[in-house]
Amino acid sequence: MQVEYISALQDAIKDIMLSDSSAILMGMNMSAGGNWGESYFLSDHISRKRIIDTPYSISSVLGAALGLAMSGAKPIVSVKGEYMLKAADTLANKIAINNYLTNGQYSSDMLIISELDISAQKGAEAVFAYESIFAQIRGLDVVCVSCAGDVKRVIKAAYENERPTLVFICTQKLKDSAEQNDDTYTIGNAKVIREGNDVTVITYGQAVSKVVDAAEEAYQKGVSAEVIDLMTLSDVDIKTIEKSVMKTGRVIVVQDAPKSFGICAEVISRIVESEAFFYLEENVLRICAKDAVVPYSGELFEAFVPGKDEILNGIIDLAE
Amino acid sequence: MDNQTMIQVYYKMLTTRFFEKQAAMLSEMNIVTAPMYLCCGSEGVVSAVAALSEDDAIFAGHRNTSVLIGCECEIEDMFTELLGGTDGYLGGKSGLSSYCDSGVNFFGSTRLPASQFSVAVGAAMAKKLQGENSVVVCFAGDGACCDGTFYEALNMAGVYELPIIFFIENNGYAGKMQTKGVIDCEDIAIRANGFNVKAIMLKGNDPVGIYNAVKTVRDYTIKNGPVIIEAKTNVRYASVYGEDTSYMKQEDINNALIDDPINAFSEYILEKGLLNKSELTAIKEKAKAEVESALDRVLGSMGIEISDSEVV
Repeated sequence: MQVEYISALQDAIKDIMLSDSSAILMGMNMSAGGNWGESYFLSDHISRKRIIDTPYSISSVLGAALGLAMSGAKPIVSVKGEYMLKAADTLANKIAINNYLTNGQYSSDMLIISELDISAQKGAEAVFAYESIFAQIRGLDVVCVSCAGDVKRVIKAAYENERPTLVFICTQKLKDSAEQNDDTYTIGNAKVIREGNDVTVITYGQAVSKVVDAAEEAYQKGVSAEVIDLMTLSDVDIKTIEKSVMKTGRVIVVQDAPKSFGICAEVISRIVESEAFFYLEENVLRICAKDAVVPYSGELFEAFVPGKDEILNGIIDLAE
Repeated sequence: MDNQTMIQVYYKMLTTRFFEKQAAMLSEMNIVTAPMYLCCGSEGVVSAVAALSEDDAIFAGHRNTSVLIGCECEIEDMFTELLGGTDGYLGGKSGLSSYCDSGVNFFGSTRLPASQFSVAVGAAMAKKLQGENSVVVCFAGDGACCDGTFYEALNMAGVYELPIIFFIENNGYAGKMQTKGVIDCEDIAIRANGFNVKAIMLKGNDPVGIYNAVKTVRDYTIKNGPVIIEAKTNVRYASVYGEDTSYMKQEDINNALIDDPINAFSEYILEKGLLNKSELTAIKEKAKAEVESALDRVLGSMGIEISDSEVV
């Protein structure tokens, strides 16, 4: 069954709230469709008491979500990417450490849904590519859904995860459709989305579709690339990566976020520390956005973020 | 405030004082190196906790001893946590400034004094959603009221008409600064205006006044929504115990001694004829002995020895 990304998100939230009466959806604009349309039609099925419109003060809204969680409710908080750094204080200093600080007495289980979005004509204040900061927060699990078919199972797994969990959706993919995957998702697992023997390409988020397109073109040119979607960002699935790298001996890591101190850097470190390091036949190639402020203009943006061709050339060059 | 409650509050105020005395000693001896945020001079807060019901949820800031003792947290566990012992109630994970105890509905203290306001708002949202007949009380200092979180929390509390009391202990100092240098108004309470939040002001060294006010406000809050209670208290020591006090006005330090809530309360009890002098002394000795023996047991179980010559 083909599903649209945003419909899958709406369904996932609705299903959770129908099956668990302690679930509460909160965030700005929730009674008017939410940040991306995730709460459209929700009040047809769920009491408005459990759909809470909050003020534009996201750090405190997350604080309130923690108070609710400590009192036995299970909040789902929707946060626009541009507010996530304000949210980071409460996430890192309260929510993520609450279970530890209280020695397990008080729960801080909640699902936070936010977005990764690097695109043109948004401007540097409204894009969001600080995922590596959040992946560093100990006590918080961070998952990114790149594929419409994975939305439902990731949201379900994140909600049922007994730790505070942040799911980044990909705003640029909301209208995409894909075959629904009904397998249970286990947090911490990466997904091999295309098998191949010559090069391993590891990526996540909105870069995934570009990588898949590049891998397909490379295949037409006789190079077979294996593509891995990390999915969980806070805990690199080194086993899946190791297995692939030991087969191909060549690695490319790709992200749409700027290069320095990013998720890709962590992936490379993990490979270097692992058994797979001894199987590398070539230096690792890192394809990322420039270490620069995200531009507004489409023309400037094209020069800023890696395109499909850059990834394709990387695959071909490395395989030769 | 009935006689039995009065004696209990008096006992807990003394326990708070003696606990902090021992904590200060451990700090002076470098056995505890954590910054020591003493509440000495504002033990009247114990009385606010005494006015609450079992189902009420309590939050505190970092200057939290009176709230901890007020909530009846175990003194041995508090010492264990302070000393970094790993087999106490919180396993050495939090330290005393972040202490909590779900057994007495004490949701926690925090080293980030303003961060608790919004969490307390969430707990009050839960109470309202679940239709509970109880309140949330969030204790904090005047310094925390500079943080935007305070106003964001007031805003949410007002919008959702939540059963929450913000109990602000205004001791005139925010960290190592005089409060009036960083908040340009005499009373924090007036900041309730504009948030659909009511406010009252109290003398912090008057346990009976605090008790009666909290009782009344509690009933009001359950029916009508949020209230700020501002208690003007004193502070006797530096923000972090042992640090230089030159930023403090001598007059304020003197006032802290003159307005001492424990002295004021013992005089009140004597005047009322509830207890005589020797009975008051007996209670004092009992509180002192309870704290000292708790510390002895903790030091013993952790294998920490303190020679008598070290005791200040």
